[in-house]
Amino acid sequence: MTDGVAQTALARPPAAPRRLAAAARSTPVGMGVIVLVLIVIFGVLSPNGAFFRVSNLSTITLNVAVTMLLAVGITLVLAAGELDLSIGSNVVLSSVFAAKVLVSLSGTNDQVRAGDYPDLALGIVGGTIAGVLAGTLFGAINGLLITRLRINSFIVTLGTMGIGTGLAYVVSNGVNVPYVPRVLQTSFGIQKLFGVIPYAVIVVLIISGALAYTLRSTRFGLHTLAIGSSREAAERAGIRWSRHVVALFILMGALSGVAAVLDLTRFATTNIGGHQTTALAAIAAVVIGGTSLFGGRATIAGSMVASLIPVVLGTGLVILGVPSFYQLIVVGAILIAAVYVDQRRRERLSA
Amino acid sequence: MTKELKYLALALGVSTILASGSALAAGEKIEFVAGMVGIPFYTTMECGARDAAKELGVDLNWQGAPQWDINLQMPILQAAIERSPKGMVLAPNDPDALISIVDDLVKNKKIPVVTVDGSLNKPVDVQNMRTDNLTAGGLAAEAMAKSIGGEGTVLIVALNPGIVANQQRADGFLKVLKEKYPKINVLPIEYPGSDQNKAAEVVAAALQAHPDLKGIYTTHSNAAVGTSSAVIGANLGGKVKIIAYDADPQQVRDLKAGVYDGLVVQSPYLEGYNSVKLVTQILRGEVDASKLEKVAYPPMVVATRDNLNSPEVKKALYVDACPK
Repeated sequence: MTDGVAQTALARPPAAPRRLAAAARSTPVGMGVIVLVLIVIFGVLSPNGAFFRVSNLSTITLNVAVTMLLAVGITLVLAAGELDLSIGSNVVLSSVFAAKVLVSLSGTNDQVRAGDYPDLALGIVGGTIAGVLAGTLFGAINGLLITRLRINSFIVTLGTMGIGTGLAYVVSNGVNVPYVPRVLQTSFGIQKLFGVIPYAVIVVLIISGALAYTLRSTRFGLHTLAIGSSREAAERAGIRWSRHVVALFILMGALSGVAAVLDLTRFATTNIGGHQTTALAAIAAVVIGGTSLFGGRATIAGSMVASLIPVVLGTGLVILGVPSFYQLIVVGAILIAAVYVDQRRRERLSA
Repeated sequence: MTKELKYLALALGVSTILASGSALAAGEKIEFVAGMVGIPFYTTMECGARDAAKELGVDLNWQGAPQWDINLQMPILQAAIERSPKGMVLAPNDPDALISIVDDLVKNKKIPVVTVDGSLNKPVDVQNMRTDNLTAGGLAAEAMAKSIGGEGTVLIVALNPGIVANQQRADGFLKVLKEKYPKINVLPIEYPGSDQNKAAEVVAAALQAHPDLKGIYTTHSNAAVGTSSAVIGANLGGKVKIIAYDADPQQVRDLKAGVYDGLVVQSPYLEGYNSVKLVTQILRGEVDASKLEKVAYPPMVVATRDNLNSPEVKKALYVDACPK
């Protein structure tokens, strides 16, 4: 996966050596190196190499899964020059709907209260559908508001962020939905394939792979980047801006719904007080990974790699025993340093 | 004072005397303004308040907003005052915003106001009943020491720095461990905020770094959720003991299932029961409001799988609906 730059995407694929040189200059590769360096440093410094343990590295991927999925979605939104600040509140609202449907379909009120779920399978299917559907609908509303009312996506999603959180409180009565079956967590949410790869991560990787292909090799991806490069030019070329933007926000909403379901299985409860900084974390990962905030240049691989950085740092610093007040300082400093190093490296290589 | 004001004050005084005279009859109207409604903690408090009202034969009106928000509580409080009750219990959503209203009620309108759960920054109420978070933390420490056998490494997962009530839960825990259990080593406190995912992340890392980690104390429910997810995920469920705060029905179920080893149970039932009882006693002249302690801490318990069925603990656990 290399940068899906609008210009190169429109041109024919470059020859192999040129592609290699381009890859070395790319941000995903640079960020990948930085993540590896961090892992090695933490591994060497940690007592008994605790950081290198497979169980640690696999838990890191589980901890990053939801942010990574959202970052991948935001990459496409940013590629088209739009922004979505409402994803965190979408995740919360969708998880409330998913949990409500799941619990109510799994058994009667008295049964679930006693921890008995006679219709668990039905509940899980219904809950999953409800969660993804709610997220998709949320996204569709975002898209329609942006295109029909012609209001900037920053403002629209800032508004729907509050509306979504408020609705989640109303629907849940301000309390996390009770009686979500813990079996969701023990048999899926924290389970790992072969004891190594968390199921949630597999879901995220499959979706990300599909979207990376979409961005790089399909007309949809091409149109996304074209709109991000220049909306006017794209429209003159016959791309329908409003239809495309609505589609992108529907996609982002659906991904938020999936993230909500993953979150629900991970913790076996909703998280109505959480995800307040999720949108910021995802957007930061996307930009650090090499996607332009202003559209037209986007890389899903970069977003995925960059979303690892805060979790690798958070985990590593705890393992090293850095007190939590200092962790904040170190994380902030390393983020800035990482982007600076990557920028310098690319400048040198292209000089 | 102008002449009109004097008459007004006189009229008020007369009506107050008349009012307190009629209060001697049973069925005193007491307004209970909850901190919020819809969560097990406050439902349990409501059960306590209603039980007291039934026993004492007072007319209790329970009201609250669905969220902890002073802007939502204010109109509810105003409406409660409009119903001209004889006494009031209030769980203030804000320590400052309600001081002048409560002061006016107690001093001028002669309505005794007992505050519960939250408190006011100026003690204008007749008494405040709340959880003693320091003691609660100490109880958690005792429970922790017991479940890990008095030695080993433990971790505290708190909320954010600077939140006094939550910090006290951690401080009380630390104090008891330091004084009584020198063999227990406490790691630096982690502050993941209210984010479950962050809590899971720091706990997962701590489990990697400290294979000798034997127990984790969480000071709020989101930390407990993240912690349990990380512990079960590391296949250490039941091996690393988790002592959590609060006792919602779901948490009690998790305690039974072995996810948690102890729950620090605050006393919403007693806060509800005792506050209504105290207001009634003041109205009936059985208690002199001016001689009360300004703060009262109802006793708390730590629920474990062993004591879960004892009547004392059973009554303290939070409920979704009052038992019939």
